[in-house]
Amino acid sequence: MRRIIQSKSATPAAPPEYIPELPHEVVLTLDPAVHRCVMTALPGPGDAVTAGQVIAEGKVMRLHAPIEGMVTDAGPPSIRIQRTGANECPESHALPVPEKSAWPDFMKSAGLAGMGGGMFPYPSKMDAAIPLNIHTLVVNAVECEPGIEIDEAILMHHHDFFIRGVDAITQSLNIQRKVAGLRKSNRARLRERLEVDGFDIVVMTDTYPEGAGKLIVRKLTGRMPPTGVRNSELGYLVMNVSSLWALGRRLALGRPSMDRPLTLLAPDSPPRNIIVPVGTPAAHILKVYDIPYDRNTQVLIASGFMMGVEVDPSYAVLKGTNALFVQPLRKRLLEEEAPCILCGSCFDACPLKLHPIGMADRIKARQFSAALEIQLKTCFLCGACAAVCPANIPLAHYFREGKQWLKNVAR
Amino acid sequence: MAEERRTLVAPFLRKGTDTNGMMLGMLGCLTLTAAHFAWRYDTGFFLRYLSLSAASLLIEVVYVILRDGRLHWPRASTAVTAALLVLSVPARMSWIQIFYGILVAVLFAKCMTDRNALRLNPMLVGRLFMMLLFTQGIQEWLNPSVEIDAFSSATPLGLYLAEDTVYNPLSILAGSIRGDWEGVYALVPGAPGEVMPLLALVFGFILYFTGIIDWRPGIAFILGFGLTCPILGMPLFFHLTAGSIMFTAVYIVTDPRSMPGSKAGRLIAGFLAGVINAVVRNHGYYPEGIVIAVLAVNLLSPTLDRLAFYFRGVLLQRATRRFNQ
Repeated sequence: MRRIIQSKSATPAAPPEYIPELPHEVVLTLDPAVHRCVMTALPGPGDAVTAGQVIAEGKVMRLHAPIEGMVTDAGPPSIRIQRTGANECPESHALPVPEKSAWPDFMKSAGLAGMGGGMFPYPSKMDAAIPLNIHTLVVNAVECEPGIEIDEAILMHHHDFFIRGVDAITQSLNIQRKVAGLRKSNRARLRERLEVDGFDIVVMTDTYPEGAGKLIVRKLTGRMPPTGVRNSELGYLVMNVSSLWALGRRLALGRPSMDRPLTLLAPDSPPRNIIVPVGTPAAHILKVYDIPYDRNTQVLIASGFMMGVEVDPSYAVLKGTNALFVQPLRKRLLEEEAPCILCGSCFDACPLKLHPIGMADRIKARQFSAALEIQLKTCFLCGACAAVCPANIPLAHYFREGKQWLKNVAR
Repeated sequence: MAEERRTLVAPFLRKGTDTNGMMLGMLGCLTLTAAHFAWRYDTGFFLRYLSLSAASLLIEVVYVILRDGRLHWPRASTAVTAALLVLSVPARMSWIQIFYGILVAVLFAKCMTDRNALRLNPMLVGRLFMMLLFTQGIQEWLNPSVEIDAFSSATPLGLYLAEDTVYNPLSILAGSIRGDWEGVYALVPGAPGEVMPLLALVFGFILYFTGIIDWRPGIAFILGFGLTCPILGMPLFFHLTAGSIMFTAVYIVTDPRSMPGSKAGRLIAGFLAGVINAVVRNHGYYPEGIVIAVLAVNLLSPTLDRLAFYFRGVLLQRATRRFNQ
């Protein structure tokens, strides 16, 4: 097989269902690296909280209690809430669409972070986008990470909330054009529905990482957005389906971002799409769905094969966790890094035409240059290069390290 | 108690085979090529092929024992080097002479050289050594086993018309076609790997579609050669079907370690190798254009990679600058 990462899905996504049993405890991290700001816990240990109550506040992000309960630990590093009640928000009601200038505050009150996986705070995103001339809303429904289908499930089964979010954004920001990015294999299932809603469709291939916002904008404009230039600076506001769903629920029900829809994939069971309270431990999800997990023979992955992380069952679902996979531990994953033979597979895999092995070699040798700096800044860590490397070189890991090193150099 | 495994980092998917698998795929194609030659012309050749490939592995094992004092499972790429060498020299060449070539290739060009600093194709280094030391032996080619009449025709169909034979694709695959096409269809034995360019071409496609080789150096090589031939007044089709061009395009210039890793570097290196090969064939003292051409561009590989890296950076910076203006 040629070294191409396929993201084809032949069958329609299963409808999302709310987890039948709420967790006994939820854990919400206060890690500034996750939220992009320092978070301060508001209640103290022993305080009772209701579902939807603000429990942590930062400059650009807010955390809400996903369930009713009692705070057992106010952190840092995390807030723990012991469940005593349900997850229904008392006194929640539909909210009006905010004025254009009020969007950052509205997003903060909703506690909305990018739900495609990046968890970039929406208040910051809207703050940057509002002064610009945004002419197109791009809904990213490409979902190119193999195995993840939660966005398709939302589009097919929770369409109303999604479209409510879309309408609010387009009307309030006076956006004339709506574009939906789909991939070839889900085009037939979603196209008609989205066209009825007035979307133009842009079809991407069934390969990873075609769902990257940058690549969708490249397809729309015919040019790759330059390094360091945000899509919004080109007039395109790219939003993820789950984020719009969460926004729609905030508007329709008054419910802040406290639920996370995700795809659950395990051996010998069909893929499931479930909605869980943010902060639900993975162990609870596995127990509810009767999924066995053995660390010696399996790997538990949060947020997908390509850009996800290996976690243990104590991992608590974040706002950006779009998938939870239990997969067999394949021998190739355990193999040590071998010397590079310069086969060029990483060059072919890179969607941005970067020089992955050249970058990794220079990072390892700490050979700083302008060419390395701009390539590292351009790289969005999709990991396609590392997945196709026959020598098992963890290239994306080196790039993450390199980006950190660059920041230190800049300081 | 079992050792606790380390936490893995993304990505958790792997596409394609690992390095060893790539080399085994290449070795498989080369072994089938050797088997094809043995079947058509010289059964004993296959034994020679196997013994020399095994000898190359032994050389590596002994070297590692002497260097590190431990037993080491040899790499498939070592056998590939030996297989390429055996398939590119006359089938009846002295066993010991080929062994010396393999010894030089494996020991000096592969095991003892820092291949980050000097990225020469080990097989070609071995062959260069053989060309210099065994000038006679390396030119004693096996004679064709089939008598052929010369024939020319506007198209292959015209050829069949004149011959009054019914066009039969199966007979083409079996080698019963004459004229300019004879080189393509295994009527003229030369170096064992080069008697049937079609076979090299088919394996080239297989190796490409299995993600083992890249198309760029091979295609660029043929392009460079194909464009230079008419300029120098050389008969293009004759040279393209002579065998060594296809063999080189599929197996030699696609060697990853000795050619540039970057896409642009590969295109430039492949093209240059094709041009130099045509020039050496036409003007050079040696008929062995491939060895000279490929080793020459191998010397450029690190530079080409560095330049490609630098220019990628320049292009990205320019795009950003243009946007900000």
